[in-house]
Amino acid sequence: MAAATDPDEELLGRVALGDPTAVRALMARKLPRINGLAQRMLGDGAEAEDVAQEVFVRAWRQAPKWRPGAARFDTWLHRVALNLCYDRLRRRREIPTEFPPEQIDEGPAPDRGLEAAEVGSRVAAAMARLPDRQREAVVLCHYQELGNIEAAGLMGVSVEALESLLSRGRRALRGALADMR
Amino acid sequence: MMDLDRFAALAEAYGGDVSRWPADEREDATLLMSTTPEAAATVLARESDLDWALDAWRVPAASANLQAAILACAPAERAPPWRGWLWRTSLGAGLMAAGVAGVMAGVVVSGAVAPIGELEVITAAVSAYDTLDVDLVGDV
Repeated sequence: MAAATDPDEELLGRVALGDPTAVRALMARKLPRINGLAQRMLGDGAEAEDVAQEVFVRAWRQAPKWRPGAARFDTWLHRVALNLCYDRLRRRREIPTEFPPEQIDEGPAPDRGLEAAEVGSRVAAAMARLPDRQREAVVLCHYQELGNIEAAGLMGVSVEALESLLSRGRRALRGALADMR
Repeated sequence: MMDLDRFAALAEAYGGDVSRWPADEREDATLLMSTTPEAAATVLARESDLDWALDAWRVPAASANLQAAILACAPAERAPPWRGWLWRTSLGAGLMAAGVAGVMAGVVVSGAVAPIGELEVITAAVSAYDTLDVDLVGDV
């Protein structure tokens, strides 16, 4: 893969030495991405923060052992974050909570234009209703802006299967948001 | 050569911005856009609307508490190797003691042979070394 051009490699080497500037720089670079990924996968801010923290605990531990060549660090981080998200999604299915963190779709706002924040909450609700794998595909490709090969690799599916998940996911979202036009 | 069905399939999967499509499909897609511009534009417009809606979903930034918790468990800065070595062997302390003893011996001898004016210069030098001594002890 593109290990030779991993943009995080140099920073990671300094993190391994405990360079406080590098630690802060790596957090500033990666936390928004990991936080966004977890928030969109889980739809729950507190759980997403737990996941983000655990991802960084593992990243700090991994830094001195990091060997370039196998994968890009950003891909590794995404894999760790996705695994942690899936652990939590699985737990939710096994232990149904009294108040699931599902976001409520309040439906269209009649006779007035929708503000961006309202559109955003409609999208969040529609995303929460997608099957996990379709949501994952949309999150990775649209929000995390990963390429199709990288996203498919993370999900452990072929590029064709990824495209199918994306198409079905986006079609469902379009249907859920159709009344906003 | 890409046909409109494939173009629409790619738009359905990757959205209305061709620059975000798989790199190996973009050239053919651009060609199709130039040969059937209206049909291609219709497909892209529909997907761009969905892209816009998706982009409206903003998630809260990571809290200050989360950032503090992440930094709290970050690797600690490593001391340079020579510092640990000096500490382990106590050589640093030994060297320091020898240095101070040498300077003090010099003061005694100088006091016996040097004129009063030169003695003030030597005393100032000793004071400066004392300051250095405190810093180094603290550092080790």
